[in-house]
Amino acid sequence: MFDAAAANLLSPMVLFFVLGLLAGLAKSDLTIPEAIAKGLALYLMLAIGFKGGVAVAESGLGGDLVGLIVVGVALSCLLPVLAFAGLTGLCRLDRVTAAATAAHYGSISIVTYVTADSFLRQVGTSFNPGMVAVAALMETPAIVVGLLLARGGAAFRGGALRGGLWRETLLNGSVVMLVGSFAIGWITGPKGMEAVRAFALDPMKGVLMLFLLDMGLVAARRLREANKLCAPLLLFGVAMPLVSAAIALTLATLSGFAAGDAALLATLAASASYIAVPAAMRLALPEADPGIYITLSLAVSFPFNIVAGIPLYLAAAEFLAR
Amino acid sequence: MQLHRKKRIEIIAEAAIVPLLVEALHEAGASGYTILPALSGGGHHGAWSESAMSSAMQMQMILVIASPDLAAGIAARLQPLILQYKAILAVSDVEVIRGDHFA
Repeated sequence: MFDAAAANLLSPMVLFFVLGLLAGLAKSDLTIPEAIAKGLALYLMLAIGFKGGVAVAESGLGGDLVGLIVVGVALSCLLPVLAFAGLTGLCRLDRVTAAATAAHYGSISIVTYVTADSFLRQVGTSFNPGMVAVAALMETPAIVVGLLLARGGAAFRGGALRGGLWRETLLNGSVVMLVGSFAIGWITGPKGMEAVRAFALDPMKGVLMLFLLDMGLVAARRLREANKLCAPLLLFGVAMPLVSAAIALTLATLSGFAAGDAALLATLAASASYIAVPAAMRLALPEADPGIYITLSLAVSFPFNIVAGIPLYLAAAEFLAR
Repeated sequence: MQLHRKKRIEIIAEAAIVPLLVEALHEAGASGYTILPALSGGGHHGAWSESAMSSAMQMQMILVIASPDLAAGIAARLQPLILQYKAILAVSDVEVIRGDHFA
């Protein structure tokens, strides 16, 4: 397990993330322009989706995929409830902010998934290539659950705002990119990959490095705002990923999933959204305090997952699979 | 050349509701609008900047020029959104050429 942790910590991706964190904390003016960061994110979603689709075209869906999807979506629905229970009353957090924050922990971070994917390949653990579809499907249910927790039944009443929100969540850029690339990869298969591999596959690790550098900078800047968060909340930012991963690993073991799939499922469960869900929550729950949910998700949980979580979840998955 | 008196409405609002505001502007009868980016800022809710990853932390500015009557109507129309979200609305006096260009 320590080999895995070391392999992760010394990978260029994580090291660039740490560089970004340190530079941000030291108040360096290093910045990645916003448009470039957005472009890098789009590329990562294109590449990971396309790669997954091609792999599925080559080797088929794999018997476990339906089970993985069911467990994944179930986690996306249930984890926000658990998070909400944990957050209510913590540091005098109001109900709406607690619900909005809980939604983040049921949803996923695609960059965390891409980093885990890269890590698993680096250490040679195989996994079902359809997992990227599981990731895409786990993004949205948590948002709905979060709204229900905040508003009760009233979440589904009320007019134009609701329509815009559904469009924003179901058709948001990252879901379209991910699912679309996956479908295109599946349709074009290995031949399609050969044609575009120099663009769609080879640069992926480099792009991930640069993106994680930016994430480190952004997380560090957010972290400087985190002293407004009380200690129990910060602790929640580390504890909730661990609890989510534990639940995911339990369900994975009971379902008999392979270690690689279980590790990715745990990573997805442990990750928290920091782009799509905050945007949805600003629109749907404006009374919720974004300082809480963005800081927790971006500056506490994301760094934890990238640096410590991913190798930990793999080690646990491999242990349980024995 | 004659200059005509109009009202300039500047709305600085979070990116999440800019489409809603634009829709409300159309409904109120504004003849046009311009959206400008905002780089960073700070206020009651803490500091933010456009490089903060999520559009949840980004703000944009909408610029509208309208006749004084319409300006009052627009402000009234947009008020619920302005109050509910992170947004400010400011109305000032301005003079323009092509007075009939603006509703």
